[in-house]
Amino acid sequence: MNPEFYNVVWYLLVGVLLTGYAILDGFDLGVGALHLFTRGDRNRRIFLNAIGPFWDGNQVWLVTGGGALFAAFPHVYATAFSGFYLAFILLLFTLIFRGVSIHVRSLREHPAWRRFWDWAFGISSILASFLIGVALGNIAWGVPLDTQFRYHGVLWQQLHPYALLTGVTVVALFVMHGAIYLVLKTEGELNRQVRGWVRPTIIFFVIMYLMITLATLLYLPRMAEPFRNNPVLFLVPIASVLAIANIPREVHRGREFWAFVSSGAAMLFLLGLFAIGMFPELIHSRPDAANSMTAFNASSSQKTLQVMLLMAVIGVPLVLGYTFHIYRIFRGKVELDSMSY
Amino acid sequence: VSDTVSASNVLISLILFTLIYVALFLVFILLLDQKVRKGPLPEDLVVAKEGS
Repeated sequence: MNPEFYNVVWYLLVGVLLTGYAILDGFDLGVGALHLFTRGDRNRRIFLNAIGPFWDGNQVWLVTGGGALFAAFPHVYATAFSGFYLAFILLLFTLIFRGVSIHVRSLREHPAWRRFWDWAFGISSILASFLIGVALGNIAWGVPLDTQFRYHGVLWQQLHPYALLTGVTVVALFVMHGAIYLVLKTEGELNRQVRGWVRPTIIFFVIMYLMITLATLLYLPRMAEPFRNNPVLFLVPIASVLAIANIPREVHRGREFWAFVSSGAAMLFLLGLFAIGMFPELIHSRPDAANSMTAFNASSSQKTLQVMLLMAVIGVPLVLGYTFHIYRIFRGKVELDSMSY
Repeated sequence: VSDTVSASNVLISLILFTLIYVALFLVFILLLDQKVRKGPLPEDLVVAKEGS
């Protein structure tokens, strides 16, 4: 077998885990961003309990993605986690605050207490989504790496316009995804309100999608290269646009579940688009592109990748199985009881 | 010694972690105090019959 086979497989698998994270945690981060837009304590509690059984399980996908990155591409893990140290600490704190807000918000009746944690939940959700987008923007745009893959830069250099644009795009994507999820989970007057959010959030995302596409074509032409060399790949962006266009159609027909599936599929195609543009790079190097980290020069040994693949073949179906099971058990509209957040 | 993570970065994260844990400890004490003052719910005080 081609010795580079395992590198490509692990490039794909890390991508699958991070895509799974984006699709799953994406909607609960989006719900967090929309949390402040609904009024009334009951509505906010319904929002929290809509994601209640799922949000912490969803975050595990980020952990597995990070774990897979650590084992399959340890050099990338080292460069990213040391180079983006302060940004990742900030991301960690937003995730801590978010978790605490969800847990403690409804434990006291006091309005000031609840308002404080509502804001903490909303802001930390938006900031976490934004930072994930900034990280994506940086690995695509390129960061200063030397021949030893050491990162030479500081936090504010990671906040260049392209990274800010990807940051806002990811916020828009998660907000759209979260709004559709809320349609699925609410009923009555609140359902009518969140239905009204679907269209504006889609428009917001489509505008960002156009801008990021334009910026990528203008400034990162290498990411368009695979599509020019292999035009059949254009099916991926077309599929993403069709999936997005299908969302309002399904919502209009009252098929809320398919609207959500459509939104998830759109995210899958968008991240596929990103992965095709990046391949085989994991972190681009700028100004010296020769120092870029790829699936081939930053990986573990072949033996490690082989053994890990065996583990993944056993483990991933288990994870998919229990994820499916949890979503099945907690399907349907939210009902508040004494055990709710 | 890391080439990329500077001492000041480590210090900043250490201070932030300390602050966050102190803050969360205070939240925990506050909520615990409230729970203790409130006491158990009446239905939780009923002794369940053996075997039920």
